[in-house]
Amino acid sequence: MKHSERSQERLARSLQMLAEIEAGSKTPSRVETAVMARWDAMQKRRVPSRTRRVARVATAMAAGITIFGALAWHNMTVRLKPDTTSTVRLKPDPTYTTVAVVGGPLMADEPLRVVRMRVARSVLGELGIPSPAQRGAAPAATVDIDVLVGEDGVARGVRVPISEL
Amino acid sequence: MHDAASSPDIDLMRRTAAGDRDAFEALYRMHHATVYRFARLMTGSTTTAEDIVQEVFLALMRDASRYDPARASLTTYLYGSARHHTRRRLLRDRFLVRLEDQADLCLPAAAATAAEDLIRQRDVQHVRRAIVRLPARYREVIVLCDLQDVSYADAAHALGCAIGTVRSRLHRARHLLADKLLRGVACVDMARRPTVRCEV
Repeated sequence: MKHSERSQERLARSLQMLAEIEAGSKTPSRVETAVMARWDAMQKRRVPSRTRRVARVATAMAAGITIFGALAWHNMTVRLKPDTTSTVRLKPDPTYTTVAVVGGPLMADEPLRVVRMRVARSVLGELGIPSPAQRGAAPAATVDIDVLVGEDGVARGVRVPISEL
Repeated sequence: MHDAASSPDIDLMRRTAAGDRDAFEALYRMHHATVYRFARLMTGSTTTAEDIVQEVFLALMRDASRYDPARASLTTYLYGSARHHTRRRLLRDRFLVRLEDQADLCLPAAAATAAEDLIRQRDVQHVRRAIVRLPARYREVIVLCDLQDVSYADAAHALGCAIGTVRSRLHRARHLLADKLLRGVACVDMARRPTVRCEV
């Protein structure tokens, strides 16, 4: 018999012997007593008394009322606050007037960008706007106009200063 | 995973989760010895094993409702829990040195007139110490498969690894243990040698 086989056989015998001895071992009764005492303590904590139940309901109601009040207050303050969004509303400017609508139709509440451009006066004619030159006044070479550009980058309208009309 | 024999366990666990004291007591009486033996063999300490039994059953009473019988039998579940608590305990106590461990592995030879049970007792103590000195991953498989007769599948489930891993660890663990025992025997044999006295 090989040496390793002998040692394995000896090991198997030893383990079997130890397993037989261990099979009879049991936890001391004091452990069971301790575990059951913990069970009883835990169950006692779990069962709520009448006072505790009333206190729990009252706490829940108070929390509900607080949350409701906080939400109501928040909604009210939001409503009272002035609109501070970054939308720029175009106010009627006495020096400017919108005279031409180009591109697509202007949608309600559509965000627009105003691009001021200096263009040749002849451009006004191409847009169908009568220029002072056409009315016999001394014309300037260029004119400043505001182009209203929609979100899609397409021009919606052109504002021309009244002085130029 | 669980068999028909574990169906009373399922019922008892359900009742335990509902707060039935008798059901919990019955569960304890059915399984405490299994957990105790595992913990004692893993730690080599009776007092630590008692603590682990308490911790395992405290966890069971807390989390009884979370036990899923479809995943594993209660015994396997308890082995898993015992393993977890044992590892945690060993990790916590790693800087402590137990008094029993201070004795050297090479035990002094028994007297020539020692009875058979004394030799047996000494051998068992020797094996027990050799097991405790194995690395935890090898100790677990030896304790579960060789000493507690747990199937490879259940051991794999309790240890959270594949069956193949259990097999390979067991193979390696047996070799390590045999080696340790052999070295122990050599030491004992050395101690058994008759002392030669020189007469002047």
